[in-house]
Amino acid sequence: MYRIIIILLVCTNSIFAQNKDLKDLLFWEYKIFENPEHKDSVLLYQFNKINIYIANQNYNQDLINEFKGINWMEIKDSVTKFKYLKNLAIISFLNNESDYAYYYFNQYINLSKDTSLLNQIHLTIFSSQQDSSIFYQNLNKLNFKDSLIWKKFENLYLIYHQKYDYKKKYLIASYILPGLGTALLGDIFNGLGSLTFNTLSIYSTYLLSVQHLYIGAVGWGILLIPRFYGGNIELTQKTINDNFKKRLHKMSLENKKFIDELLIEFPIELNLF
Amino acid sequence: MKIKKIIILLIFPAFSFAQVNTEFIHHLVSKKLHQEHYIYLNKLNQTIPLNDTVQLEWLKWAIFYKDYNQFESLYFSYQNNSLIKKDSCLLLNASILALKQKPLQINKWFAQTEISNNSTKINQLFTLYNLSENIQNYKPSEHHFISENLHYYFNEYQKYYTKKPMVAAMLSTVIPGSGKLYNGRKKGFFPSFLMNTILGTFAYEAIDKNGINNAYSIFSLGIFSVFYFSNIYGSYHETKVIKQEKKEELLYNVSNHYYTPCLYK
Amino acid sequence: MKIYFILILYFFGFFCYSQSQNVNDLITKKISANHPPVHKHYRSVMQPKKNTLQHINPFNYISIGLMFTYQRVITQQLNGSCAYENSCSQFTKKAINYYGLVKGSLIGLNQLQTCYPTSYLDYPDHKINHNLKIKNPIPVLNED
Repeated sequence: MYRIIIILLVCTNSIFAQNKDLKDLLFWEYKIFENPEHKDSVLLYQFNKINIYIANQNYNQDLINEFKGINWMEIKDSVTKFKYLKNLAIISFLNNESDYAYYYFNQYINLSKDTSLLNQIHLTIFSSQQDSSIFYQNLNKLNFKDSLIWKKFENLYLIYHQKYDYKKKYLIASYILPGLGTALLGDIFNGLGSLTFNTLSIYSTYLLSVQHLYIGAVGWGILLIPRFYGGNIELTQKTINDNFKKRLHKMSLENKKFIDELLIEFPIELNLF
Repeated sequence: MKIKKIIILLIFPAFSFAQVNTEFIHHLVSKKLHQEHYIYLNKLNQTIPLNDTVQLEWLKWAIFYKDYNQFESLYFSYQNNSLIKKDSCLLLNASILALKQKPLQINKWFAQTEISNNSTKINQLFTLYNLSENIQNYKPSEHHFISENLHYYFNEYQKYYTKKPMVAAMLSTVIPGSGKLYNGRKKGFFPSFLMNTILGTFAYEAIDKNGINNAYSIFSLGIFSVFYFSNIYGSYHETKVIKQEKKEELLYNVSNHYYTPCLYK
Repeated sequence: MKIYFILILYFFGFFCYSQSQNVNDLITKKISANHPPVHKHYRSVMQPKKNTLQHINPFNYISIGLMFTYQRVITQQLNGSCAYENSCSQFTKKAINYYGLVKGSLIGLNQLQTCYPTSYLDYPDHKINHNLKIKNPIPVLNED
């Protein structure tokens, strides 16, 4: 009976570990507050706080603020310095700061001189949103003989730097015949709709002019015809944009599969301090 | 012995806070550690409940993170706390938060006359709020402490408080869009006037040439009448809306004028 | 035996409750989240309230039908942007729901008459958002 009670007490303590960890955050912050001048001990306490965030899988902006409270140049131990740079790179990538991610990971590789395949692959992933020269420099270091894999890596970069096709021919088609551009792009319902509305507005002005209602014809013509004609052109532009976004979404889905398989072989891990 | 050690390790925490450390709270606020701030106050509540300084810190936390409803519920439960009523910065910021968030029971806060005598700024703020509720009593010569900037908003509110919705409706029947001028919407006059005149000419031309029994004349007359009546009712409705809008603008500017960041200094 | 069965369930629930967020999964989600699928945002359809008169009134359903066709079919064919945060059709919908059919439609059409690019100059600063559009929630009038 007593064994069961102790087991239950231990398990409840571990279930509510998150509350305990939040209290530990406060504990370490209090230690920092008490001794701000002892830099070595302050660093220790800050790293303990970061470990709590990582152990709780909490990778939000609060964690980046904790990292940025540490000046990594002042870290004497090289192992902790490399861990710091690598962890900060991963977490800034997760928080939409890809420039910082690439910078810190590059610093990590330059200082640690660890040019293994694992690190090079991770660096290419982080450099996918950077300039073309930087990305292709890192990609060529991988020395892949298989061109398929090289193309799949290149897609990572192309998603962010895809050139937008203006597709002038569809716009010109909709200028000539309202609704033709949208219908050719695949949206037949809206194409027919713009054709009908444009013809109806022109026909109504014609009918009014035939009945000698010239003020009405001019007025309704000015009110309706430019709005529907301009709307038709805006609609073709919108469908071009939507098709472009759909293409990017397809590419990202294909890339997701590729990266899933890649990261199973070459996983990214956060290291505790 | 072993069981005793286990019990001590499980129950006794590594540290305990028996006193309120305000410098630590200032440290947490300056570093924007809101999570740690909340945990610290909770811990203080557990270790030293019914402490006046802890209650004061909870109220400051509620104001700093802009939750007036929580502040009000805590404030009226801490009635026996003498520290709260001495802290003029807290009370000033609380009244400013009430003006900005405009809760339903705002009059409950501003009915406390004992708070108004805490400091001159709070007294001025309370008098300004009461003036906004009874704007007919506003006289610039009597209230010297009001700045020129705020005088402008008081005059505007007083001017629009006396406007009558029926007058705006009557004006817009004669000239469509003039009700908007009466209400102060100068840029809205021209488009509504143009729209109504154009639709009116369409209807007039159709009835003149084809008579009333034509489909197009019925259609154009219908559209014109709908826009005309919407213009009349809209200007009638807008006079009531503008009174509230001017009051909101006044209270917004009053709260900005009296705001001072002094909670954690 | 019952006690051990309960303990096993307890441990199992603990392990199920703790969902682990692998860093690899987060990175793949992050890369694919930059290009989400394209969804067309359709605005909600107006519905009559629980009042029996509104359910019987045919003009209610006519107005719902007209608003539905306008927002789904006609707005895509027109060009132009509204000076207000809530477009004129959306504002009329909310006004009809709050004030009723006649009053709401008149208030909505009144906004349409003042929908002009420079109309934001008539409003105070705190009523204008960062895109220079006028904030126009349904005004709830105090009983003064």
